[in-house]
Order: sequence, then C-alpha cells, then structure tokens
Amino acid sequence: MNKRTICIMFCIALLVGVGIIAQSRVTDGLMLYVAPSTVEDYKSMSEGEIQNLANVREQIATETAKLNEYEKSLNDAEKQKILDNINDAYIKYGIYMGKLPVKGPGVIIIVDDGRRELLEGEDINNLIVHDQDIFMIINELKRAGAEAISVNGQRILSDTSISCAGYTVRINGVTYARPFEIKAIGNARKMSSVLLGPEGYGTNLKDWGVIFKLATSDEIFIDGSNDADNQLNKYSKAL
Amino acid sequence: MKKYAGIIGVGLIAMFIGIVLAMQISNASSSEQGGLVPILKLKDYEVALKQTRAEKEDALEELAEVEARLSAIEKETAAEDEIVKGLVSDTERYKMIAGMTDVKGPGIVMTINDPAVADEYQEDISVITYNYELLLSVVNKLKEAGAEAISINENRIVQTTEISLAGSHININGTSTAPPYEIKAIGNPDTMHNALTIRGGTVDILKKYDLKVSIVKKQTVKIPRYSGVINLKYAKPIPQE
Repeated sequence: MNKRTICIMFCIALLVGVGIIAQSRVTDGLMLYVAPSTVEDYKSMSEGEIQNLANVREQIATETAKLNEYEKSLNDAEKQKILDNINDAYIKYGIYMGKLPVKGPGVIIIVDDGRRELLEGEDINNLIVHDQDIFMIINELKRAGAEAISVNGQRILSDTSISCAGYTVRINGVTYARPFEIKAIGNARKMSSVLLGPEGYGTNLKDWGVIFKLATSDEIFIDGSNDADNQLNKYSKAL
Repeated sequence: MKKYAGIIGVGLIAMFIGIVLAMQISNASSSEQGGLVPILKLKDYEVALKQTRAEKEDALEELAEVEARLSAIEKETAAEDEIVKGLVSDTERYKMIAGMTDVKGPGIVMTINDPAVADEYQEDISVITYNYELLLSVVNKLKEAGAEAISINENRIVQTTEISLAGSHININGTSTAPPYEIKAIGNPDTMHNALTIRGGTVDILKKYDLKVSIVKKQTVKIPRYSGVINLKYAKPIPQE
C-alpha cells in the first residue's frame, strides 16, 4: 500500500461519512427533505391567503361604491344617504360585537347531564356536560354560520371564554350550572344538520348518554351584552 | 496477499456506498405517500405564498385608505348633529372591539408544530390538524387569561370564528390554513404564559401528543384585523324603545 492509496481511501471514507450524516439529517425533516404533507400545507396556506385576498378586494369594492355615493350626496342638503349608512354601520357592528339585542331564525339547544343508570364500572364523567362540550357545540354552530349565539342568556362575544369551575361552568365571568340552553341565530337547517348529522357533535353526545335536544324556530331573541361595551383594551392599541 | 489488500479495502467501501445509496433511494420511493420531498421543491410554493401575502397587505392598505376617507366624510356630516356624532364614535369603538382594526400591544407568540418525521414508516398525518380541538382549547384558555386580541396564522379570532377540520387542513374564518400554527395574543404576557404552562395544563397536553410547542413573551405583538366580510343575513336588530 503506498501513500496514494491511503490518500484515496481517506477521501472515500470522508465521503461515506458525509453521506451518513446527510442521511441522518433527512430524518429530522427539516434539512434536505420534508414530508409530502408539507407541500399540501403550503397549498392550503396559499388557498387560504387567496381567499383572504378576495375577501379584502370585495370589501374594497363595496367601500369604494359607498365612497362614490357619499361624494355625490355631499352636495345634497339632507345628506340622507350618509346618515343612513352611519346608522346601518352602527347596527351592523353593534350586533356583530354583541352589544345590540337581535332576533331571527335559528336553533335552541338544550344540553343536560345524562340520567341513565351507569354501566358497571362506568365513569360518571361520560354523562356529564363539560366546558369542552359547550365550546365544541358553539364552534360547530359558528362553522354552520351562526351570527349570534347565547348560552343561558349570556351572549357569546369575541373574547368569551368558557371554563370549567368544579361543578359549574363560567361564561363571561358568570357561573352557570346545568342544564345549558344554547340559542343561535342563523341558517337553522344548516346548523341542525351539522350538529345532528351521523358524525355530528350532538349525535356523539347523545351516543354517550348526554341529553341533547335541538329545536328550530323562526324567531329567536338574543339579548345584547353590556359586557361587550365595557371590554377594556388595557393592552392593545390601535395601529 | 499484501498486493490485494488495497483492492479488498476499496471493494468493501464501494459496497458500503452502494448500501447507503440504496437506502437513500428506498427512502424516496417506498413510503406510501410517495416518500420524502426535497426541500427545494417547496421553494415555488413558498414564493407563491409570499406573493399572495404581499398582495393581501397591499389590498388591506388600500381598504384602510378608502375607509379613512369614508369616516372623514361621516365625521364631517356628523359634526352637525350630536346624536349622529354619538353613533359614529360608538361605531368606531364597536369596530375595534369586533376586531376590525389592526392592534398591537404586549403579549405572547405561541408556535405549535407537528412532531418531526421520525422515519419512513410513520403515517403522514398532521397530529395538530387532526386534533384541532387542541387549538380551540388553547384559544379558550387565552381568552380565559384575559387576551384582548388573538390570531392564528394571521387569521384574527372574532365573534364568528370557527376552527374546523376540512379534509387534510383546517379552516379558520372559512379560509384554509396549515401547520405550523402561530398563535398571537395581546394581553398580560405573564398571565397568559403561566395560564398555559401550568402543570398538566394546555402545554403539557400538547406535549403528550409529541407536538413541538414554544411560547415567547413579547413587548409588542402585532395582530391584523379581521379580513372577512361581515354579512348578517339572519340576525335582525330589535327596535329599541
């Protein structure tokens, strides 16, 4: 063996070593290769952003149309158009943020702890309504396009949390015990089919033995919340 | 014999390289989902995403401009009448509470990502996406801890926000998004941080699923406005006496 062979062997060994390192890096999923789902992830992200962009463009179109109307009616003596718009915006955002009471078609849901006998060795928790059940139901209602929701008369606001406090559930800082009455205004048919479908959350609860009743109604009244207006923005500042 | 020693050595090394190569190739083709994807392929998607985001930023700026002009006219008109003036200022406040304005303030930034791909046999599913109720629970805990504004991947959480599974990704505010999920919240950073990291709490539950979780307290967090369209079709106001 001469020095040259040793040198070549050394180089080859080095290459193999690098190969092994690269191989091990692959499993980290970050360095050279990624899981195929990452591509899907990027695609869904892009889709989402395109949707967002379309939403913003739509808003620009409506607002610009409004602006043109404004500019026309600026010369009017009454400025009725502008006053109407001011009123409309007040009502729209007042409802949306939860301050104003609303009515409309929707569903009324009653959720209560199951009353059947426990099976041998069964956990009582299977029959009890948890905070998670309430916020999952609310999430499903929102998915089905609910526009206003209340639980036991408490309007659900953008910052409403629902938390377990021992035997009770706390909503907007107020404590409630079972049964829970959830009212939602929106497309009643869509909301009930989302909850009561074969894989629906309501169906699941029923299968566990929890009491879940849903009724649709043409006119539901939901109170406004005074908390909505009292929401202090201690930390957040508008940009 | 000594004559052949070098050749045998080289032969062994060549075989070894062959094995490594074979492993590499099998890695790329044997798994059901088509194996691992070179990161270079992602670049195109990354660029496209960045472009759309930049476009969205521009559009949002344009929207803000139009809105500013509108509200200037409204204010001018309102100045003549006390009641109308009240309406306008109420509406401004409602809009901020409803999440229609960009906000900034102290808070936390939380990132949740799927566990790393451990080997080729692992199922190619996103743990956090399929257990999206964990995200709901994080948001609920943040609200409980007094968060004033929350966003997930720049999607503002508002009154009507849903988080739902749609195929292999999740929808927030009706638009699709994917991991890693970056949750931003404005509020008391210590309260929010400690509420999430309590023993047996939300972060511990997330870690049980092997998810990668990080929470950073920040002096300024910027949270974008809700970019969706508010269209109340069913909810009607009740005339007040």
